[in-house]
Amino acid sequence: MKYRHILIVLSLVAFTSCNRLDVAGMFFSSGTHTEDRVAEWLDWNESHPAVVITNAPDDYTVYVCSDIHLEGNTDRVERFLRAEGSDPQGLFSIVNGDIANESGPRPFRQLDSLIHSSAAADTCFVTIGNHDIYFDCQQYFQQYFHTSTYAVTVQTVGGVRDLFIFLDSGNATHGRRQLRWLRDLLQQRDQYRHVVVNTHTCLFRTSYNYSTTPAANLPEEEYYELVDLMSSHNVSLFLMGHFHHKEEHALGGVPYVMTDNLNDTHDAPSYLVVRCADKISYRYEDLY
Amino acid sequence: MKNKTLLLLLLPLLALPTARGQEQPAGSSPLTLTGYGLYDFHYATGGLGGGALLLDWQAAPAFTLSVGAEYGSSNRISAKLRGQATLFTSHGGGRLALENSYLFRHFPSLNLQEFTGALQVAWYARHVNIHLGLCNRYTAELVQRSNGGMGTVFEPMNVMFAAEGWWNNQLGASPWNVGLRWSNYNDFIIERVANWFFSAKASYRLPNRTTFVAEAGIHPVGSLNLTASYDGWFLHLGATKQL
Repeated sequence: MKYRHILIVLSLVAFTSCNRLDVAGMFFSSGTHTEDRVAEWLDWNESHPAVVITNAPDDYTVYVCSDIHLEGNTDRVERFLRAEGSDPQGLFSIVNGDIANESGPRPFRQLDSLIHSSAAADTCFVTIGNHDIYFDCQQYFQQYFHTSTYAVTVQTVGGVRDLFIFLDSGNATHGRRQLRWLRDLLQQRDQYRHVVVNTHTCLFRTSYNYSTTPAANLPEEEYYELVDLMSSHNVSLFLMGHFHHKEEHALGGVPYVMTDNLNDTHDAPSYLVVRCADKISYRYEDLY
Repeated sequence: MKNKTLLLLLLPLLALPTARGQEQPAGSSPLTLTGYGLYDFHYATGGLGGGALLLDWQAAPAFTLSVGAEYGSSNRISAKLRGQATLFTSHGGGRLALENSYLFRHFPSLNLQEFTGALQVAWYARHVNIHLGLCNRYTAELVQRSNGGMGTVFEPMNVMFAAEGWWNNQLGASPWNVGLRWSNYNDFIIERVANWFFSAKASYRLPNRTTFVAEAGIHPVGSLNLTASYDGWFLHLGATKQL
């Protein structure tokens, strides 16, 4: 563990001049502010119809991963997408932020190609993460995925509706406008069987590993307001990534679940399978 | 984990017998009262106004006990207990101290409660104050739990730090002083290690043992492994009075 910490510190220095770590971005915003990005995401939503998946089975699964940090090799993401595609109950997959680990459009282009290739039998929804903002990379995220503040409705053959909400927390804050959008959306909670919220940044700081030390979370006031918003609207499941390990919590009746990282450096990568039936449940699956 | 928590809570007691050294000027009162008004603005969640009171009691030459409370309009009620034991005083006036504090925060509008225990080592010198320590925090949504909800979240071993630099000698005769502070906490908020406060501080001491104090600062979020962005600002204005 000590060895990894030393490596992180050394890499901060060593990669300053290359395209791996945006050191300046760790201290000063090198791209757009959350508020500006959310405005762009919502503008895009206004000019495009909201995604509604119809005729879904009453009992279906959704595959969720995060922190794929693509650096050329896409084997793991392909395997993840194929796992969802080969599941007869699989409806769609989610990549919850941190697509990139470098500057430039390559990781975004690669993921987009995979989603539209035969590897993915179903569609895949994506949120933006902190690494997707470094080096002003949000322009590439926008180019390929268009929005990171949106909702997807699933209508089942049995007549129930589930809502999947996707948020932008790439700057460790959801921002005023996005929180307002979220509050408005949750006012309609009683129209849905389940509501699942997805965001990249982990809300809690409960454990330590090479990736979480030091790592940022939401500011205290926003963290508490968001947690209260989730429990007061009886959100079914809150999904996060960011800290590169599996973690589960329950607060105010809401399960908060963190997914593992899927990048090449992780020895035992996993993803989450969420089952939406009368009750919502989830399980971690090892990628290998 | 429970053993670590217990250790963190009990360590200050071990420090008490070793506390020695800080001399109190003859005739001065052991009680100091500080009060200030505050405005705390968060870009995402809005602003709140309020006030805080802190009472320091120098119970022994090298031990100070402090109690404090803060009210922030509708969203925040906090209480704090702190013990500070001086471990060592240098010839130049520098002072090494061990500080143990407990912070309780209640958010009435959010049904949330938070309890934090913290232990810090502090170095007070003529122009510089340095604090470094760890805190453990429990968060609970008590109303939801009684209604059948579940869970608390335990956040262990969060690093706390503060570095202050002052223009004038803090132990000197000058009635005024200005300084800068970089930290991840203030009197009643302890942020996670990568969410910082940058502030400017000022004080002006009157002959009657009253000192006006002011602090204004910003708090960006998401430094270190997230792209930093602006979150808000705060302002504290008040006075300290040796009773």
